[in-house]
Amino acid sequence: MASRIKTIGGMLRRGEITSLELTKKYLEAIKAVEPSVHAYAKVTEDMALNLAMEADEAFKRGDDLGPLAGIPMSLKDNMTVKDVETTCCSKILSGYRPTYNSFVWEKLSKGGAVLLGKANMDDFAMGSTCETSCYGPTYNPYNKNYVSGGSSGGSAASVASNTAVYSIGSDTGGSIRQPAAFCGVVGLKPTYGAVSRYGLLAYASGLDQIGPIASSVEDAAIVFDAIKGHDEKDHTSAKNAPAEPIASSLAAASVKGKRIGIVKSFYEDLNAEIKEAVFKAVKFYESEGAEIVEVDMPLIKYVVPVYYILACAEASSNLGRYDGIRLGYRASRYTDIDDMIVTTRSEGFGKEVQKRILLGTYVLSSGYFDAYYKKAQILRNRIIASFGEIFAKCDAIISPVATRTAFPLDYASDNPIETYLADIFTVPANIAGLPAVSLPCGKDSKGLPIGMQLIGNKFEEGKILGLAHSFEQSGLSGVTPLEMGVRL
Amino acid sequence: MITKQEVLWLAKLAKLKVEDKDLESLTKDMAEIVDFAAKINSAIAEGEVYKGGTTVRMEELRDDVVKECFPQEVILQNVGGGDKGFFPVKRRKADGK
Amino acid sequence: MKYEMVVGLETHVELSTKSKIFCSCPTDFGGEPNTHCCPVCTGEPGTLPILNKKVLEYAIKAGLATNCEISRSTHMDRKNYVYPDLPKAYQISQFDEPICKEGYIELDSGRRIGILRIHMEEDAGKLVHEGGYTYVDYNRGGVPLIEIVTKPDIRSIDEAREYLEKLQLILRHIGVSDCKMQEGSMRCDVNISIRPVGQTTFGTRCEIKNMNSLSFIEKALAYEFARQVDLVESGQAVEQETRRFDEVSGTTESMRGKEDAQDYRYFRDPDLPQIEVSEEIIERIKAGLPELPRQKQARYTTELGLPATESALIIKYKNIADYFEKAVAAGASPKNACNLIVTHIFRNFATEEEKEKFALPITPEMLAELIKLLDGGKITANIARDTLTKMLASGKPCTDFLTASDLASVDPAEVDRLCKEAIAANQKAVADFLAGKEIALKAVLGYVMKATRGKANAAEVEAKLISLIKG
Repeated sequence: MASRIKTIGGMLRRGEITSLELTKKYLEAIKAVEPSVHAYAKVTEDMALNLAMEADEAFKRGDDLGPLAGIPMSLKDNMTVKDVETTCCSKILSGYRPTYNSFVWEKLSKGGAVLLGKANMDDFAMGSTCETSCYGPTYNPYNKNYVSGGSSGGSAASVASNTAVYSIGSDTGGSIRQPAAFCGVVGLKPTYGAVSRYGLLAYASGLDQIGPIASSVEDAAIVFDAIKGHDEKDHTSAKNAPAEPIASSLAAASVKGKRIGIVKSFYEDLNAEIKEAVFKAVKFYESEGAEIVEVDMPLIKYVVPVYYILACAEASSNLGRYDGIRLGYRASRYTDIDDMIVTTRSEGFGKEVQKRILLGTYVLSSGYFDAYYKKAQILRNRIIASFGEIFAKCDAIISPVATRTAFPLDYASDNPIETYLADIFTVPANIAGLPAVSLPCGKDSKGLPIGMQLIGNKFEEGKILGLAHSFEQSGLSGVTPLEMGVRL
Repeated sequence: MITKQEVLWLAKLAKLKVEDKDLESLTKDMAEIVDFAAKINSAIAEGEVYKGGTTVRMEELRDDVVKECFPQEVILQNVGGGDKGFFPVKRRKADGK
Repeated sequence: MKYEMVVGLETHVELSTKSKIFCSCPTDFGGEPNTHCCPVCTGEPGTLPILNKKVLEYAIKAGLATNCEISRSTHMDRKNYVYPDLPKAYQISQFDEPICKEGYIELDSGRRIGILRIHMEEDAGKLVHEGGYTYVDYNRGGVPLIEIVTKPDIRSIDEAREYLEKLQLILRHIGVSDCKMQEGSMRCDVNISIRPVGQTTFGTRCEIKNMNSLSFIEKALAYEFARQVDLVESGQAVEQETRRFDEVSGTTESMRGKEDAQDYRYFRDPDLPQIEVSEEIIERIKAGLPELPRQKQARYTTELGLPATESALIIKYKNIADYFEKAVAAGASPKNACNLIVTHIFRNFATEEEKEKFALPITPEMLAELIKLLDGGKITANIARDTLTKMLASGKPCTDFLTASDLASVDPAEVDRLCKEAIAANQKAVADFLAGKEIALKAVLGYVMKATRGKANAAEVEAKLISLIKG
């Protein structure tokens, strides 16, 4: 799997293609593919063409803006781009034009990135299937009777359908990794604090992280290198994270001598096809000289409830500001201010969002705070401690990404708890603030991609991306790029 | 377990409307989610509460320096420029004469 | 049955930092609406708060000045409620780890009003009601506040007034706020309950929110006390509720039904870090604190020998105290400096504003120059006062006005001669004096003083007259 970013970057610098020509290709591909995939909430055609022209100007001047210059990409619709409608794919934010750029977009645009459009997502990032978007669902490029996953479904689908070279998504409980797995691409959730959250419309402030989705591990690393770093506008942004680029160290990464942890209990009731695909990777690492270590996660049965308690609590607070007064949707029929706020919110938020706000309100309310929110924060510390014990014994943990491959359409809304529980492998990394990458390792009998996950210790993106890269280069992933979109 | 009364109280706090026709099914949905969250009841809650990932020394905090504000029209750009420089809201039931 | 009032006060004070608590917008009062704003203080989605160091410093100063314990480790919490002037639908405040706690302010009576806690929080914007519509201005949103909560230790209206005046004085003195109730930089929530004198358990309390005038607070307390006593005496119970003070009628009315019971769902704000406050930084802030009003008062009365009421007046206004001390440092005697400032200069300033500013056309050193002459007996008090008037009117130093004759002291032989002359000219007065009418001497004294145009030392002349008369 070659780095698409490097390949295109080479072509741009050698003058074989201009960014404008490339961007036009992508815009055409979007028109052709979108009816069956619907990865984009909004295509920013004029802006893309302008940015492409600016990138071309820079190349002409001899200004090398960086590895992402002139390369078309998509940005999940929960990150601000000044004056470009940002909605979190929720009716309540329709018409909202941010007055400022998110840190991530500011950095990318300075590096010459070309924004093709805002990627589709679950309403306020609350979902695992991208079906709650007010713009309609994103379909899995491998099979449109199945979902792309969520909440960064549009991001993953745009990369998988070759209508974006890479995408920026966000991950609160698995929202980058799971859709990446469902769509057969690579998704990285960095360490909490590695990427600034300034300009990310918050779902759960203590869990959200921004990260790349790309077609290869090297591309994910290149993008991560471009967006990571301290931001004085975000108190939770890490000050002393390793600054060295990771992408250039991948080729030299070695598997030999690495200790890879495996949690046996994960595989007890697991779907056989997923188990087989993940074990294929385990065997690969073993054959390359890694030591496979059995580790334990005794608190695993609590991770999903803990996640939902913490995430919904913070969400209920973060979403309080959406009241129709300063921006977005405002109800047209109401009696007084109070009624205006209540009606606006009830009409503007989707059903799943409203349920999570109510649960969040419940676990923070005075009668229940100790039993739910406070207890969840204590368990959180215990989960963090258990990871500490695990990483004393191994360099990375390997696991499935989800308990299944992509859901069929409409399945999740009929089976909410089962859908929540499918996040069991991804939420621990959010709870503990650890980096985790998902990449393809097989396909099921329906032809839907299966993903594997590598979880690392804090700020060890280099280690897990190195391991991921090695597996990817083995050719054992069992997933090949789809015949759609732009193929170069 | 969660009662209809509790659901209405939560909706009031969260500024959400629950139509009478939806209350029954919403209460059922909420009960399901609450029971799911209640799975942590069996866990042992010993130890410290998570205090967030970051600690700073007071000296490291931002200096008290004024920087340029955003122009009024930008601040008001999402309400069509506002009304005489203000964000317009309607009269609240409890305020005003 | 005699009842006593039990009062606790929660005072919100706007800090006079240059920038807001969580962003770099200015904290200036007034201005066109929504012109002191940025995406952070308007609560625009995706923005994050960045704490201003000075807010923490000022909060610690306030805690040190009120004898509080300062927390070595603190954090911010979210207080969740919905109101149009609160753009994020939560106020970033402090709930379970306030920066200061367990302090006190001592009243003149020696009674201490306990301070339960002082914590930092952000102010909300302002709602404007006009023509049936409501408008919001977020200029004030994000202005830093400290909330100072007392224990229910106040037992009378006078104590409440004294506590607030002392709090105001202290906070102004240490420079953390201008504490102007009329401008809204100091607001008070009043909690009052009653109980029979001698009872130690507390009655049910009512809260009167957002009071911005001392006299209104006094009226509200008086009304509430009477209302609650009436209720209890007629066998009814006092309901725990929030009440609103009506300025026109001077009464309080229930807000029940308007403000339904709230649940603020406090939780640690995940966007803000845990903050460590070191011993060194607290020591540094402590060392930088100016002399506090209480200490100053003690020093003025015991060391400088000033009368209590006059020194209290000087201390009330920081600029006046500073001016006074500079004059003393330049050589003026504290007694005369205090006296001249209070009796002669102070009355030129009519409004509180002017008194606080205390803008004089003459420097403390210029005043000291004049006072030193008075101290040394080179000029009389009358001449000092006259000269001072001229100095204040012109801004010129005393040397511009004092003539040689003003400065010339009266020859003792001349005084002697004038005394004998005075006695001769006022036979009746002398006779009255010898008969026991002491006040008669004043007429004789007046003769000498007039002859010397006030320059003679009145006390010395009086003594001389007595010795001459009595032989």
